[in-house]
Amino acid sequence: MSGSVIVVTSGKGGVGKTTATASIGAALAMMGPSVVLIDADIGLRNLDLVLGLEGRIFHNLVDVVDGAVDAHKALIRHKDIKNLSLLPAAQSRDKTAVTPESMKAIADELKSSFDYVIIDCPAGIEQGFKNAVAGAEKAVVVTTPEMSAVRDADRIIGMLEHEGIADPWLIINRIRFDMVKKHDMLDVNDVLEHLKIELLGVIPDDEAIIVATNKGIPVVMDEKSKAGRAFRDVAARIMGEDVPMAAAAEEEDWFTRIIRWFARARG
Amino acid sequence: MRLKSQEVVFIGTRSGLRLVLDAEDSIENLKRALERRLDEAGGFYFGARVSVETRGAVVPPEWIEEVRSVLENHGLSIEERRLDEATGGDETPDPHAGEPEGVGAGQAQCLPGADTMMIRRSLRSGQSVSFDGNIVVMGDVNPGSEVCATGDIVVFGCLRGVAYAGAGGKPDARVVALRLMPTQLRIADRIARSPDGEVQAPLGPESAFLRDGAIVIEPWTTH
Repeated sequence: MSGSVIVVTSGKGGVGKTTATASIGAALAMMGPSVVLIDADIGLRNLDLVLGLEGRIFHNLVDVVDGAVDAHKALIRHKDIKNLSLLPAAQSRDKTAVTPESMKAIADELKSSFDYVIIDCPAGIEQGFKNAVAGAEKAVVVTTPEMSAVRDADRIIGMLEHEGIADPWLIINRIRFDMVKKHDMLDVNDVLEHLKIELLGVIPDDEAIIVATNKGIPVVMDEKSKAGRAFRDVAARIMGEDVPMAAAAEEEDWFTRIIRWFARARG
Repeated sequence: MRLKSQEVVFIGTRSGLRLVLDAEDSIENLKRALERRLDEAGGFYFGARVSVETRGAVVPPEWIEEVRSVLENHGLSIEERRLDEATGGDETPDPHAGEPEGVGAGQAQCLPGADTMMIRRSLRSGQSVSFDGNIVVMGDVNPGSEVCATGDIVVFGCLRGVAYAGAGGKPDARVVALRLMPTQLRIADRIARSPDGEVQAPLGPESAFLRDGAIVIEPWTTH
């Protein structure tokens, strides 16, 4: 068996890489395939928190690199999603504790026993980025509809090409359709026109993400969350399903608003 | 130590770029200030030719050589030496004056002897190409990227980055793009930037060139 290794990256920090990694990983695992997430953000460990696995960490990525423990031994199983595992980052070390070669070796080893190996890349374009992309065959670039994030995504796409990862997928995160409608925010086409790569998903700005992150429950487990649904669609597209883009987001807005109005009217 | 923020000043004039050095400082301070200034500019002066002037006291000739090596490391060249009367006459003329400055990176991508570089992809943020000749980009030039040519620049796509045509001082160089919306345009020794605020996308291909010493943009027409 040989799974695919996907790196989730963005260049700019704070656009939702870790949330996207956790959500896509959880959504894929819920659909059946086995998934392992690797937190490559050494020294700024977050992915375990978002998944609610902080208390279960015994070994970490740097232990595996140092040869202190086998990669499979260091994995943590998710408490609710049985197909989902995590290789956490070390919190007490920094990015220099890992080399691109060692990351590639770990990714290669894990892909022999998992369908998807998803790597959460740290922000920036330095060592941490080079480590995270070393073992990857495919990349997901996360951006928000802001010029600064789009500019950094553009830079990252160029750097991915340089690393031999062509045709990355794009996720536009935290879009607000009400602001787009008023022309206060870049819309999906603006971003696509600039970056010209394949769109994997558009994630609406959603408070449920904040709640889910704080509770350590992947947002894709929340049936009602719009962002959760969008991430489930993303996972389905990664698996090759042809899911239409939620251009319906606006209609849905209007529709749910009426339903909510009725619900309120009924008391 | 005295703190002076403007030990090294670049002044753009009609006749070109003037570099004014403060002669009072030590050569180490002067070099450091010059390096810092050039680093801050982030390649802005790349390919420029400057005339060096000094203010204050006598500048020893060996200082000028040091300054030249710093400038050349950053892709600038010294046009001529216009020194204070104090050091004036006895200077030997600059053997390199007037020579076009070779633009370093990117030359390897082109066959020797060819004078046009073809780039068959888009340039993304952070990528830059410079070439001693013309450059044709079959793709977009995104914001945050740079194209620098001693000759013309043609972009068969959207030009949103920085374009510098006629980098060696060639005033008849042109920049042509299917959509000309650059962050900044430079032709020979002139600089123009896009207006602040919302920029309307041009409807068709446009051409930028120098007319009476100013950069003008006109819709592209064949003659």
